[in-house]
Amino acid sequence: MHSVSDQEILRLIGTKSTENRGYTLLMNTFQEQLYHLIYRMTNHHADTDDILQNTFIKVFRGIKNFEGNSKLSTWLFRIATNEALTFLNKKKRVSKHSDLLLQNTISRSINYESLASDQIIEHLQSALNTLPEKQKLIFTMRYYNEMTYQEISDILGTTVGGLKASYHHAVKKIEHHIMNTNIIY
Amino acid sequence: MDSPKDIKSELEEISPFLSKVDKPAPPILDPAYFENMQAAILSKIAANDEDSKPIINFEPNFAQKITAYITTSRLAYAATLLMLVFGIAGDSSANQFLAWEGSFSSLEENEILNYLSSNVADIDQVLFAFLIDTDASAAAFQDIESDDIEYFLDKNLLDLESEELESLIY
Repeated sequence: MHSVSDQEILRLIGTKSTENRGYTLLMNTFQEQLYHLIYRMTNHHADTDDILQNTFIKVFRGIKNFEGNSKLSTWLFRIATNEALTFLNKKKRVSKHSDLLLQNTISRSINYESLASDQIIEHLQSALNTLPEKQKLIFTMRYYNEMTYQEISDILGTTVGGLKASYHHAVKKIEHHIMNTNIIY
Repeated sequence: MDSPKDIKSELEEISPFLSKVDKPAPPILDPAYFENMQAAILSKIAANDEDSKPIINFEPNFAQKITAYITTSRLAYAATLLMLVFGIAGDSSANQFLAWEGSFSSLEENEILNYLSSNVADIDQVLFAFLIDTDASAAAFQDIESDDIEYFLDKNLLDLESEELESLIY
């Protein structure tokens, strides 16, 4: 999956004279994948930036204790997903009030067939935001990042069977949401 | 079945509708975006930025909850807790139990907290099941986010499935 091996990155970071080169290599290898995963969760660049920086701070602080029991990518994604979930949970608590206001706005049904592609994409993101955070994460990892169930299982610690069921439910919910979508004025 | 082609086939089976929707392209990033990030991160670490949290930020909170729970309500359970943490529950006797209970009651709250904060990784599945298997302990943990609990346990209780955990807590 990666042209640079975990061992190479860890070897560089483990030696004082090559430590910074190791960090650079680690970031170059994973930063875009992590950014995109987090961005799909937040849909907001500034939030993604915060989460990504916190993720790398924790990775840099903890990497010398990384025991190699999993792939480096699994460990990084696990830290990133935990950071994203923690961030979103905090944000959800703050935004409960504004959600209530939104629910009280007037809405009307629209005809799905008349939607242009960019509108469908917009509705897809909107549908994604209705999912519970963990289900959203599973959908994102599978649909956008095209990860195997085993990779997701290694990161989230959920069984492959549980992941398949969650993904199935997420897809059905998103489909239902888009087909029955409303436009908020 | 996990290649991109397989993932598409799987989606076609679950939702033919969604499989026909073009996936949104990932956001295009300014090439300069990542250039300064490493320096900024290393600088924050070097400055020991007080805002940055430890890798498992839940641990101190978890230990604090345990401490609050055991110091305010159940000394007998607290003694059992420490016995489990030290791994001596298997050969404990009633006398040992009473001795532990007595010695535990003499500890200050911050001493217990310090101990548990630094040894929380020793807490095992049996102990956690024990801790949450009472109304009082369930109440003590109710304001902690389930994702935080799940992440903590995932790091420390590798054999406990998240579904099992949810069924234990909620």
